[in-house]
Amino acid sequence: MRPRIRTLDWRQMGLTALAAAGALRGALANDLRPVAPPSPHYAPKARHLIKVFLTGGFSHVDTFDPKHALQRDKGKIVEGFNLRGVAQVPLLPSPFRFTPRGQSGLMVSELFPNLGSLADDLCVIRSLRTDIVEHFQAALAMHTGSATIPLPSMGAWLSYGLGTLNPNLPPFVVLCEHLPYGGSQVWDSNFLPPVHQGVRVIPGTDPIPNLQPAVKESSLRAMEARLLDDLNTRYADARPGDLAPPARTDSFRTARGMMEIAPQVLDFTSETAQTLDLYGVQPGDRASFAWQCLAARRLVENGVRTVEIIDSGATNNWDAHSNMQEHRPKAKRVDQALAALLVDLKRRGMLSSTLVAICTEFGRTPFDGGLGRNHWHRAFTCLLAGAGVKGGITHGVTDEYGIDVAENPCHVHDYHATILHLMGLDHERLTYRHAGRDYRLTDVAGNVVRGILA
Amino acid sequence: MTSLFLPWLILPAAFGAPTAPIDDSFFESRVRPTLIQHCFECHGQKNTRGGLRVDSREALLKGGDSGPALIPDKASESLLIQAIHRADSKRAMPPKAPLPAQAIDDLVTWVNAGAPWPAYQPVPARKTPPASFTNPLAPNSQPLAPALQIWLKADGTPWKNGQPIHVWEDSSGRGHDLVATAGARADGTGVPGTFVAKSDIAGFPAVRFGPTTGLGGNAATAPAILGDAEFTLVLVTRVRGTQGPPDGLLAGFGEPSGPANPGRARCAIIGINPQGGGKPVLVGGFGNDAAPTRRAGAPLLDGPPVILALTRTKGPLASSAQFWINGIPQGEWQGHTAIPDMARRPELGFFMGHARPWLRGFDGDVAEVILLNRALAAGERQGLEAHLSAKFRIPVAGPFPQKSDDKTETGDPAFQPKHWAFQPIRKPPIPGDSAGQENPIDRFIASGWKSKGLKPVGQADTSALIRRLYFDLTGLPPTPDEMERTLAALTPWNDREWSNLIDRLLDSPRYGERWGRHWLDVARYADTAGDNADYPIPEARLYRDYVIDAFQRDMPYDQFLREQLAGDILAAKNPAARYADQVAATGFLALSRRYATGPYEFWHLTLEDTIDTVGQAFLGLTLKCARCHDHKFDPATQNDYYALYGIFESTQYPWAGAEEFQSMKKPREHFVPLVPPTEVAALAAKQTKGDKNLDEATRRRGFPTTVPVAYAVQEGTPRPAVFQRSGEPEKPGPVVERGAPGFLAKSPLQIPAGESGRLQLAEWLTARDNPLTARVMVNRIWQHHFGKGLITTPNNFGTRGSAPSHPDLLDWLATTFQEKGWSIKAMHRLILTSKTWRLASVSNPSNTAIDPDNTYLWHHQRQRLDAEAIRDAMLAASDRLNLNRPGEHPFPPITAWGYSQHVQFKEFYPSLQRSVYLMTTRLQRHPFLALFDGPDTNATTGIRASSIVPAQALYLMNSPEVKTEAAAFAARLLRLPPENRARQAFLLAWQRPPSEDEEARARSFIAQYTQQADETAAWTAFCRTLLVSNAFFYLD
Repeated sequence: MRPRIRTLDWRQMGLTALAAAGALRGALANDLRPVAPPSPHYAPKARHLIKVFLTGGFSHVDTFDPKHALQRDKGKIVEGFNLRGVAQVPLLPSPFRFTPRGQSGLMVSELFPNLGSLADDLCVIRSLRTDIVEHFQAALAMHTGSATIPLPSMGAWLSYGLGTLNPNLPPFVVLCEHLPYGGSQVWDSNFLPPVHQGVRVIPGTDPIPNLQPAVKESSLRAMEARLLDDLNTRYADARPGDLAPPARTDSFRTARGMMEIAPQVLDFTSETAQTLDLYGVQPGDRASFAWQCLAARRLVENGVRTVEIIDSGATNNWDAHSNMQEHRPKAKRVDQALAALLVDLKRRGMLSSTLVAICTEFGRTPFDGGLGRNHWHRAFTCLLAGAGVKGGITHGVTDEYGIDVAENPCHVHDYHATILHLMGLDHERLTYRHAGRDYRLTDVAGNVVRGILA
Repeated sequence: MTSLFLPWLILPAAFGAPTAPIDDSFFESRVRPTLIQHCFECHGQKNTRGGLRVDSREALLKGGDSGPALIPDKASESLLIQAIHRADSKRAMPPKAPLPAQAIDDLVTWVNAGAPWPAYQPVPARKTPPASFTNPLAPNSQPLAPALQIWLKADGTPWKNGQPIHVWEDSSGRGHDLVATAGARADGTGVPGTFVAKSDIAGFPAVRFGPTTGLGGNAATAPAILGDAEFTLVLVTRVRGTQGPPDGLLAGFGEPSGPANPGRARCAIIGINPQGGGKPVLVGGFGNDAAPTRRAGAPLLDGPPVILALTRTKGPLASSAQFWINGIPQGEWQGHTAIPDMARRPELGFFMGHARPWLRGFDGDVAEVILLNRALAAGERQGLEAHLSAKFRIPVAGPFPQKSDDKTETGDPAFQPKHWAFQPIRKPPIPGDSAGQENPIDRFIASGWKSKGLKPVGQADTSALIRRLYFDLTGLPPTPDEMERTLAALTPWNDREWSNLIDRLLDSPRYGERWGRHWLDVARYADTAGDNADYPIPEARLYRDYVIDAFQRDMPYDQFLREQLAGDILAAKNPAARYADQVAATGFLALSRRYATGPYEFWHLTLEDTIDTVGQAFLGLTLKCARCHDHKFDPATQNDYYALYGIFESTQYPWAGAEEFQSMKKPREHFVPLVPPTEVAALAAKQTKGDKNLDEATRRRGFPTTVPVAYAVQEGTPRPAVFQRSGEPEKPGPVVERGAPGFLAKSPLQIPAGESGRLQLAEWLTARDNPLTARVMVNRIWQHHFGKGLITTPNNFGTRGSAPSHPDLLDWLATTFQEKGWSIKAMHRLILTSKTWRLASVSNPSNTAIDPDNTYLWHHQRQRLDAEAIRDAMLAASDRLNLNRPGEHPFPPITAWGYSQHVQFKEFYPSLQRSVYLMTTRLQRHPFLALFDGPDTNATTGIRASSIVPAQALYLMNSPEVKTEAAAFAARLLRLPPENRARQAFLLAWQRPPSEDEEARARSFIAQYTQQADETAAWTAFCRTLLVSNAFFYLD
């Protein structure tokens, strides 16, 4: 049962006339408009984005880009690099088996048995490239388009370009148990207006900060709310012509709406046991990755524009330097729930309007002196699925060892441009004037990867 | 500054489904190009087939022989559209082939949307500037390699310092080695040159020559440059002196007599004529005729290292030889001389110095010699010079902007020093008459009202004014007592009392904490370094305290600026006075953003932060844009950027730690002691010996714990910067002299040897005739008093910033600021005593219609309290505010630090002290400050946002922090007799007593609430409501 949503139309705030008179200025304009209809540049395929960021760099040659030549030429010395610079390093084959999955025969490794069964819905881009091979910079780049200087997150750009569909929820929610590399910079709105900020949900007992009321009894809360509204309204009424006080008065009402809605969104009692089973949500579980995936679906269902799930944090993640077997527990943790998310979205008819992006900050070296792999930026894999994307396909080809991209490179900027395109935005036109020039997510680069568009 | 969101036009299309939005850029990118590409040729200016032109909307509407081509909104009825649909084969357009389907769709969309054709002319493209640098060419690169005959270089050899060089091998691969010679001994033995690892050529390896040192080849190793052949000879050398007249010789080569010139030897020699003032000469010639050589060139003796280039093109020697020193042409050569006895010296090859008895030696170092067998074109020669310039850090002239009078480097008159902000500051006359308006500010503002037909509102209510003033100057509200007394003193209104109040508040220590914080925004202050692990910097607070104290004591702004840029240099000059303060002041530079995991990684980005912050903070210019290319809008060039870059590259910054602090056990580096160097040892000696913990702390800290240090800068190795093409350090260009931006600096900075240039830069910034520094600062002061500046883009006074609303007032204020010794408090007094500042914040519909943005200040802008004031005022109401300045933040001890990008430093320390003293980090925003629009600690913030978001309301309603303050506030009230509580609550929270209505409302609330809960809960709820309400948050 969908929770009753109290929608708040910005026009009800009585601002239209004054807006026309040019009185809507400055920060005010941006903050009152989460539900104001900024339009996409053209008809979007996706109305929502669910981004799953697997922190630490999952290895492309061990997951979605099988390289038989690594086994054939195992041990051959190539010019690679290790943590300290250029070195002569032997090729390291993957210890994981790949099998063709689905009708399409997409090759998926044994790390993802469940996700592999959704092969016909997946678009595997094997030719991702990024510029800097260190976690912090690469994670920042995958989120903001900038590897060094912090800039607004893609989720903030989407909110700026498209608005949200529910004023009672933030436009950009980030389910993040542990901070990733780069900290909260990866979901920050930076110079975009603060309303586009990512709001962190920490899975657990108190997911959204300050959502729990200070006073338990609702009648007492109501009294206090009435008093506040009274005083605020009196203040505003005594100062006609100033838009800020009434807007602020209203923000309290919106906040109370959020207090009602958000816990309902994150409360799974209305979900069937079958659904909980599908994801792998245990009774009493309010924090697992499975819980997060189901929460993401519900948030999207309730109108949140962009939901990001950050799997693992700055430690204990996919950064398998010593042994590729470390990928096993990481994959096990996410595989079932990711597949369940896609299945669930599909059967609810939501997959055709939701874009799912499964990504990481860089890949891992096909060569190594030991049993693990180092960071690798010149080729890696990310996935897209859902609205507007062809399923059961790969895009881009790496060379026989998976060291460099051989065909159809897709730089992080291209990945971003494509996501924006699917959401209905032209990445070159979605700009914001800051410090004297127009900025955009894709800097001065980015090409939409047309080959994967359905 | 936030931009207004553009409304999209959504209009139906005649050919079916509703179209996507369309605007000017749709036309420019989808329609105009199609018309140009496919239609203009026949239907434009050149040809008008069928009488139709399509190169303007009017022309399309008018149409041609067949009638109007375009009917707006009606694509199906427009001939243009019918033609491109090719329904009628006679009218099918374009005639040869159909347009692409997308182009047809676009035109249909466009016509149905009304065929909007932007009235403006697109801004003419900036004229392509001349290349701002030359591609450096190494001697063995294309296209030079085929012509390379001799390449001698001293670096990269296995020689040891002081080693005599018997053979200088030729790196060109052609075997034209030089050997030590003296006299004309065929066996090549003689006085060798000496290898010096650090020569007079900027410390690079070189071969040292003396008056008797010579190196030469022989007939067998002579380069194949014969007869009248072309050649280019380039040397990197520093010449100290020559043996007396005749000319001491650097290098030359010759050809023995042979079949081509029987009986005659020929040679060309570069020598130096000490009697001609040490200028280089070309001696010898291709022939035996003797004639005086015209001396030319700049002196070479005892000068800096130089890159000499000589080119001979075909033709008689004298008219075809040219000479350059560091890329600056020295003139042509006329006449030639012959060397006697050359007929008897067939064994010449390439030689240097005293290679033969009749060749004079010289005293100097040679690092590199390049001989090519053709005359390089100008671009190639400059490329070779650029390569050598970057390698040896010798600035060369070239086709890149060099000097300050190269202002129209782009040739575009659209941006040029005509921009208002680059004009000298004037002192305009004060307009109007002084009747009733003694304050010049009021007269300037009044003339603005007059010009717009605005009628200002009246003075604000006195208690609102008092509240406004307290928050403005101290960031705290007046206590009920203070409010009562002040109100009494100011009723009836009394200018003198108002002035006294201003003075009292300016003297209060709360003032420095408030206005210092404004500056800390600009200085992007934080307590951490910003690298991947965000290392803490316990000493950063010394800079923060310096800033607060500087404002507190009204330090003249020019001094404040100089100390932040060059405090260490000033302190060294005068150690007795405020040594620690001046050192700590350079935290402004030290706090530049850091990156990655190791010391000084991505250093070019940290220096970019420095240049960005210095540019925006002091000059209001976005200079960092010029890192990768010339600024697109302002006259700053890449050269200007690297001229500044060199100054900061010559500066030693500290390193506070990053991941490698822990993983590689690299200690902190280059923190600066707060005492002069002579006293450091004494303090160091005080440390207890043998304590392992202290020893480790000392190692990590870089100094014994008994030596106080600051996160500050000091002088480094002074040198010019190497130009970075496209802003990339791996793509070096020529070397650029250090200096201030050329379009503003009238003359180059005179940087003394051994100094970085920061002091000279600071002096240039604070010179009386700098057009920006004073304007930028008075605008900031104005901004914090009025809510927005006279220029609403405080960090951007460039061509893309906003124009001043009151240019005369701005200049008058800037001049006055300078005249009053750059006293910020003097400006406060001036502004706060004006009637303009005291206007009420009431609205007025007729004024709003004329000036909705309040640009002309017909009323006072109601503002929301900023984050610090909100927190401080809440703590004041709850009586929990601790006004003491804290000491060190409770960071973990340095011996426990192990932060990395995997385990970042991310603490927030609770505190009851003023918000300016909160510990703030770079990678995570402080939760409270972030929520209420605190500054971005990663970049300079000139003006903060003032947002209204539900997350703020959630925090205020529900957070335990606000609840704590409300409960303490309530407890405070509960100690009073019941009848006084409501009144005191309003006085403490809103600084005014409640109206009768409000008091009644309060009483009924408390009664009702108490019934359901208890008195404490009721008052807590009541207090919370007062603290989070509009009346608390906004200043009338």
